[in-house]
Amino acid sequence: MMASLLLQHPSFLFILAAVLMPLFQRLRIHKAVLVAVPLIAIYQINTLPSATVACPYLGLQLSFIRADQLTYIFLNVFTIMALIGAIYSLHVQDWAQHTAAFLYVAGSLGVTLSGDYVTLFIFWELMALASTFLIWLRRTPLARGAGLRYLLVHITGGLALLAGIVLKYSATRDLNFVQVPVSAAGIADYFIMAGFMLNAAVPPLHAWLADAYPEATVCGSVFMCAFTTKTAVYVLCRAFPGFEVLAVMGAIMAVYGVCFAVIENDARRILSYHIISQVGYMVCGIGIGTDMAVNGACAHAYAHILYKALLFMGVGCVLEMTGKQKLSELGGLWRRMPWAMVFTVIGGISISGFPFTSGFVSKSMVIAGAGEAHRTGLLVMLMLASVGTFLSVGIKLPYFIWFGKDSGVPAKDAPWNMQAGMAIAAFFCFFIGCYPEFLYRMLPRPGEYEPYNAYHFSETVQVLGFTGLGFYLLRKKLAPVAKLNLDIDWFYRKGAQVVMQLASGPISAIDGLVGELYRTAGMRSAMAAARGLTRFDIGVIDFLIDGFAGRVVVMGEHFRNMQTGQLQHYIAAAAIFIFLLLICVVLV
Amino acid sequence: MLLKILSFLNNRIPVLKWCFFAVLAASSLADIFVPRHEEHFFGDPIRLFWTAFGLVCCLAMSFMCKWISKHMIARSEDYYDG
Repeated sequence: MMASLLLQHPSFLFILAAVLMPLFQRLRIHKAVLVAVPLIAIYQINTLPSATVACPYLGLQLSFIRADQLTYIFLNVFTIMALIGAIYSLHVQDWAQHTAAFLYVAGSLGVTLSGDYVTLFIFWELMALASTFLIWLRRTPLARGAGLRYLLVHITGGLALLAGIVLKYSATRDLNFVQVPVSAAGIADYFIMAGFMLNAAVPPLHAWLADAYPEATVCGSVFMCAFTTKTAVYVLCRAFPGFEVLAVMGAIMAVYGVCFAVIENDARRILSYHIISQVGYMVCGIGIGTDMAVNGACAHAYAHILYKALLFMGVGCVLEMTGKQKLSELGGLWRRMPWAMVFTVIGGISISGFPFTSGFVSKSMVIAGAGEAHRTGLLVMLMLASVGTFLSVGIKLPYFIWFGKDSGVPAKDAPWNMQAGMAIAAFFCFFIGCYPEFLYRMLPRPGEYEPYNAYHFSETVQVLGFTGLGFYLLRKKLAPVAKLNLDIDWFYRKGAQVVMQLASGPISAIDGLVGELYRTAGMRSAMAAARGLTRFDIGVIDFLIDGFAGRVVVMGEHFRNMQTGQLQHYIAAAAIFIFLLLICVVLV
Repeated sequence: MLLKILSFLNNRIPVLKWCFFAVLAASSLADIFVPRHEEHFFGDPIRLFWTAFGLVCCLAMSFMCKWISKHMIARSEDYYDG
C-alpha cells in the first residue's frame, strides 16, 4: 500500500527529482525533468483516490491523500504554476535552485493533500525550509540577511501551529484537518489560525513577505509568490471559513498592501505588497464565509497565482537583463524589452480586474460576496484596494520601468524560455477572463455567478478609468523616490540591532569585569583557601590519626617520579615482571 | 513587428490621450443609463458614483500615502545597514 501511495502522491516525484537534480544536471537531462515532472503532476491530480488514504504511524492515523473539490482547484493551479515556473527557470544552471524550488512545490502539494495536522505540519515546514534556500541562493549579503529573517519568522509561525496542534491533540485526541465551527473554536484553534495567518501575511504578521521576496533569486521569487500565501489561503479556507476576524483583517490587509505599494520604489517590493493586498481579498472572502464569498476566494487564488507570477516574471526579466529592480534607476525600456513590457502589462491589467482578464471574473466574486452579505464597510475597502491596485501595479510600475524618463540602462529581451513562461501565464489571464466557466467549474461550493453584466462592466470601467485619470494628473508627484519605507519588520530588525549593541557593549563589558574580578580576587583567594585547608588536613588531622595519608602522598610522588614516559622502559619492566612470574610458577 | 506597433502608438500619443478621455466620457455617460438589477449598498443606485469614487480615492490615496511616507516612515536606503 505504501508503494502505491507514494506513486499516487504528486509530491513524491517532485521530491525524487529534487534529490536527484545534481545527477540529472550532470547527465544534461535536467531540462527535460524540470518540464516532465510538473506535466506528470498535472495528470496525477486527476487520478487521486476519492477516499482518504490513511497510514498508521506511531499510533496516529496519517492521511497523506485527501482529495476533494476544494483541494482540486488548488492542486490544479499549483501544478500549472510549477510547470510555468520550471519553464521560466530552464536557463538556470544552478541545480540547487531547481532542487529548492521542487522541494518547495512538493511541500505545498503535500500540505494541500494532507488530511491530518501532523502530515500538514511536516510539509508545512518543508515549504518554509525549501523557500528559505530560494532566497539564500541569490548569494548576496542582502539575501543572506533577508533569508535568515524569513526563516526565523517562519519557524516562529511553525511553532504557533505546532503549539495549536499539541493543544488540540491533548484536548480532543483528534488531529483530523477539517472545518472548525465558529462556535466550537478554542485556544488551540486560534494558535493554529495564527500559524496559518502568518503564512498568509495577515498584518501585523506580514513584514517577512515584503522583506524577503525582493531579495530572492529571479526564479525563486516567481515560485514563492505563488505557493506560500496561497497554501495558507487553502488551509484557512479548509479550516476557518466564516470567522469574523478573517473578514475584517482581510479587508484591512487589502488596503494596507496597496498603500505601501503606492509609495514603494523597489519593483519586486511593490509586487510583494500587492500579494498582501490580493491575499486580503481571499482572506476576507473566507471570513465572510458565504458560498459566494468562499468561491470568490478560491477563484481569486487561482487567478492571482497566474497573474502575480506573470508580474514577477516580467520584473524578473528586467532584473535578469539589467541587474536593477528599483524604479528610480529604470525607465524608458520599452524599445529594448518590448515583450517583457507587453507581458507585464497583461499581468498589470489582470490584477487590476480589467474586463476580459482573469482578475475581472475572480475579484468581483469576492466583492459581490461582500455585497450579498450586506457588508458595506468591507465592500468599500475592497473597492478602495482595487483603485490602489490599478494605480500602483496597473500604471505606476509599467510606466516607470518602460516609459517615463529614459534611464539609458542597456537591456535586451530575455531568453526564450522566460518569454515562454510569461506567454503561458498571459494566455491563462485572458483565457480565464474570456471563458470563466473553466474556472467556475472547479469551485468548491454550489452557486451561480455571472460576471459580465452591464452594470458591473460600467462600474469597473469607471473606477479604473478615473483612477487612470488620477495618475495622469499626479504622475509627477507619484514619481518614485530612492527611499526605504519602514514597516513592522522595523521592530525586530532594529530590535536585533539593539540587542547586538547591548551584547557587544554593556553586557560584554560587564562580563569582562566580572571575569577580571574573579581572576584577581576570587581565584586567588580560593587557591589560598584550598592550600590552607590542605595543610590543615595533612598537618593536623592526618598527623593526629596515624600519618597514613601523608605517607600515601609521599609514596605516590615516588611512584610518579618512577614513570619515565619512555615506551622501552615499560616494555622492559613488563618483560621482567612476566619472567619473574614464570619463575614463581615453575618453582612453586 | 511588436516594436513597430509600439513605435506607431508612441508617435501618436496625443491621439491616444483623446481616446482615453473619450472612453472616460463614454463610461460616465453609459452609467446614467445602465440598469441596476440588484442593489447591494448605498452607492449602487447613485449615478456616477464609481466615477467619483475612482477619481477621489486615487487622489486621496496618492496624497495621503505620499505624505505619510515623506513625513513618517521614509528613511535612507542604507538605514538598516548600520
